[in-house]
Amino acid sequence: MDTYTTITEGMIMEGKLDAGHAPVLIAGHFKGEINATEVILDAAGVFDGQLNANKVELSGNFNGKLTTEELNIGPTAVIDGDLKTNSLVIELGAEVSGTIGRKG
Amino acid sequence: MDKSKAVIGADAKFVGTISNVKSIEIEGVVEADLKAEKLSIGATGKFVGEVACDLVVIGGSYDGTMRAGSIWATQTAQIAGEIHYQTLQMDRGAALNCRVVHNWSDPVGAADSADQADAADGADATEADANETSK
Repeated sequence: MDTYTTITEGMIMEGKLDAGHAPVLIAGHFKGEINATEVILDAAGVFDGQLNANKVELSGNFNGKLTTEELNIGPTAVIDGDLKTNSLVIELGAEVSGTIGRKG
Repeated sequence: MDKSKAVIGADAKFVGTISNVKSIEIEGVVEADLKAEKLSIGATGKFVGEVACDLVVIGGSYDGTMRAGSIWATQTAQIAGEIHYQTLQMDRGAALNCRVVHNWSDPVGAADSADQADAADGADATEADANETSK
């Protein structure tokens, strides 16, 4: 059974996470690198670093580099960074700064 | 999907530091130092590093120095390194290959509970202040 990797609100993780097939839910603070299939950054979540995944949903605070096939940016997201994706949705209200390009 | 429960999934590998967490469940591989109230290492879990916890349930593998109030090693547990405990429970089949130290006088949570007591006092004080202000 695949279990979610969950970083709860208030929790701080610093380092490198290779999440494998299981999705990652970030409601706390993560600094470092994540390689995963699917990542969800909750509205309360903060991410600093490099994120590589197949599918990403951002609703929280993101700083850094992001490479993903599919990216969905929710209305509560605050983003500053370098985004590379092949499929992008930005919902009304999201604050996005930085560069956006195709993953290729 | 439960947002309130910290989990390192079965397929995941994490190397780094984990802090500010109350209760965490490890089903994957973790190399980290951890201080928490409760740690649960699942049957598929593997934890390497230093642990300071009130309660630890080990169903997977552990290597490092652990200081805990209560340790429960279930039948699939494999423990190496060093464990300091106040109460220890071991199921048939659990493999302990480690130094085991019983510690009555040096409770793990001593420093923490002192901190918490201070924090609680602080909270009380704040509350009292608030009450006074409201009067």
